[in-house]
Amino acid sequence: MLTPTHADLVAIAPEIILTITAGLLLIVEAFLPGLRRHFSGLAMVGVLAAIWARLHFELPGAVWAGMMQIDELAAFVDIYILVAVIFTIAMAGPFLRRTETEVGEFYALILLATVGAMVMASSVNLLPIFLGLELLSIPLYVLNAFLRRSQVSVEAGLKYFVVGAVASAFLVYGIALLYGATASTDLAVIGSQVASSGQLNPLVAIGLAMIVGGLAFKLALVPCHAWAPDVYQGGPTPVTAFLAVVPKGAALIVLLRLADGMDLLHISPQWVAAAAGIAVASQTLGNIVAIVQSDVKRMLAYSGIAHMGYAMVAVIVAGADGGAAVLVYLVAYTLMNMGAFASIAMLSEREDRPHFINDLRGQGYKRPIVALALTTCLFSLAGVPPFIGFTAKFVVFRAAVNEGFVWLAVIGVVNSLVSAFYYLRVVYAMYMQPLPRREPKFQFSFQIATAAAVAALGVLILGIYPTPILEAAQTAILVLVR
Amino acid sequence: MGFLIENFGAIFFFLVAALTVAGAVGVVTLRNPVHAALALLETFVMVAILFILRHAEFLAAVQVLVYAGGIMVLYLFVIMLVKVKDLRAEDAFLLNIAPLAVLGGVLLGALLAAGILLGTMAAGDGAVAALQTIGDETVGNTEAVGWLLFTKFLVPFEVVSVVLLVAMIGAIVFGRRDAALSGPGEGVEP
Repeated sequence: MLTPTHADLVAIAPEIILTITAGLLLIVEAFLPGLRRHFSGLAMVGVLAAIWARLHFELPGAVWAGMMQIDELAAFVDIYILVAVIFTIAMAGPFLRRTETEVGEFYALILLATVGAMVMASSVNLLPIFLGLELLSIPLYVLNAFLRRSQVSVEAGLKYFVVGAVASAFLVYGIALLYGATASTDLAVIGSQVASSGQLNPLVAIGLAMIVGGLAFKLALVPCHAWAPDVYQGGPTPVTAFLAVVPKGAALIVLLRLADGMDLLHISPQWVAAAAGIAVASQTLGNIVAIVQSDVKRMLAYSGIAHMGYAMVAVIVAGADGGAAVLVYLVAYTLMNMGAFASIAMLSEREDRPHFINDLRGQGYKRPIVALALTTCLFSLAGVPPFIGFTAKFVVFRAAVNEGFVWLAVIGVVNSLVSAFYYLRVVYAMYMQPLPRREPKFQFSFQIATAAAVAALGVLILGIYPTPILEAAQTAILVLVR
Repeated sequence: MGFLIENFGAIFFFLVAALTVAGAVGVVTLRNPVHAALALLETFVMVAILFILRHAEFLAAVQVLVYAGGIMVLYLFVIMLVKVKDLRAEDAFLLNIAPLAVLGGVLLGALLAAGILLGTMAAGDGAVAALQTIGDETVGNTEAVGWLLFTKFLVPFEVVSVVLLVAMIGAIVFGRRDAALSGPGEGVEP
């Protein structure tokens, strides 16, 4: 009989801790609203406890009747998601106080979305994967519209909701078709059926295409990218940072499990062609359109589209090299984006106004620490050594070349060169241009500055000494590639 | 006549399936919201019949109780409370892209139909038995669903309950009139 065991419960201890913390925040919000100032601290304690639980308990492998796979890969992804959440919460405290929206629901929703992402990334069955995605998405619809008095924020929430609903419909339809073809939602069973037949049954192919389409919405890959700029621009900046990193990471892991589980690289030439087309289109469109943006957050949205294009190259390559490259890329992408968004969260006057690059003129000397952190992250996003962005791109393109995708690597490198232009334009504005006559009034926040500085330090240190991340990624991916 | 009797199951299925799709089309095309809601009700009932055809009696009952009963009444309440008689005409922009949308839908439908016809269905009627057995025992469909929900599918079940909680929190966040959320803050232009 299938009864939950001790191992089952311990395996999802981090998820349980986060859910309890979220519930606690809601209760304290209802009965002791005077404690609001301490909410970010409480949420932070919950996340740290979750990290501790993931590191402390041993990883049992398959749990919950084979629904979830808590192994080194899951642990890697969980910890990277939780670190991203720490940055988000660190940014959120001062930000919410400034916008006078500090309530417990904000943190509770962030924590529950995190649980969704973790469930999604550690599940090996399409059913919990879909439910994890829903648990990740629904809080984000609300969080994007959290500044209810700001029209752009409500617009961002609504757009993300409509697009997210379409994406979910695609995903669940694809899952239904895969179930129809294989009578299973278990990735291993589906994978072995596909592998034994040696080719893709048309039903499996269409189901897979719809699943990839649904995930592409979450990853903001071309042609499902149109929502990203508006949502990035309108949402509260800490939420944007979360949105830019956590759902994309979870969706990439699911894609990787699919691609590796069915060995798509060797079985289906259509998959390789389609995914390569998506990757190249995302890189090119993201980088070219980013050049003409005048709003930093919109620019980072297009940059995010391009970066997911690079990550897709690693997903196509798959195998041990490609998988490890995806993980390294995710870590790099997280640190760079968290640093950049934390800096932007501070270098903004009013949340409902655009974050113009022009407003950053002269800030390099006015606010040296934040400007330096932003500069570091932007250089890293452009892929300049010795930062981690360079390491990540190097690992991805090396994997592509080793597997014979030289042309993908060449296109990626050319795109990186193009991208340097718009990243460096921000740096140019900060250091080479004088302060505008009407100086923007930015409120200094020690907490956000610390978050930005820590992320920038991570970008620098892991860029110079990437061995721990590379080794952890290689160990993690061995679970998937047998 | 013999043909009708032999293929009664298939004919009935396609009839119900066609009615389901017709109801769904009605939801998006009917101008009067109450009519659209009734078309939705028809779709719900037809889906319940499809569940019965697949021997998922419990799901069919839940479908009628929850969707046709509870959720439908809620929709009708909202429609009556906000008193929408007719939806206003769509913007020119939406009307312009409508043909493209229809074309896209037809293409997607054709693709799916081709895939389903070409793909062999591995799951035959054998799956029906699985809905009614636990271990070696044969039980009712309701018992089997309950058993699976609380054993094999316990984690998804719990995740669903958290999803519902989140939806509720989200509604409260939008609905609350609280000092913390309606202060001057960063509002729209005064």
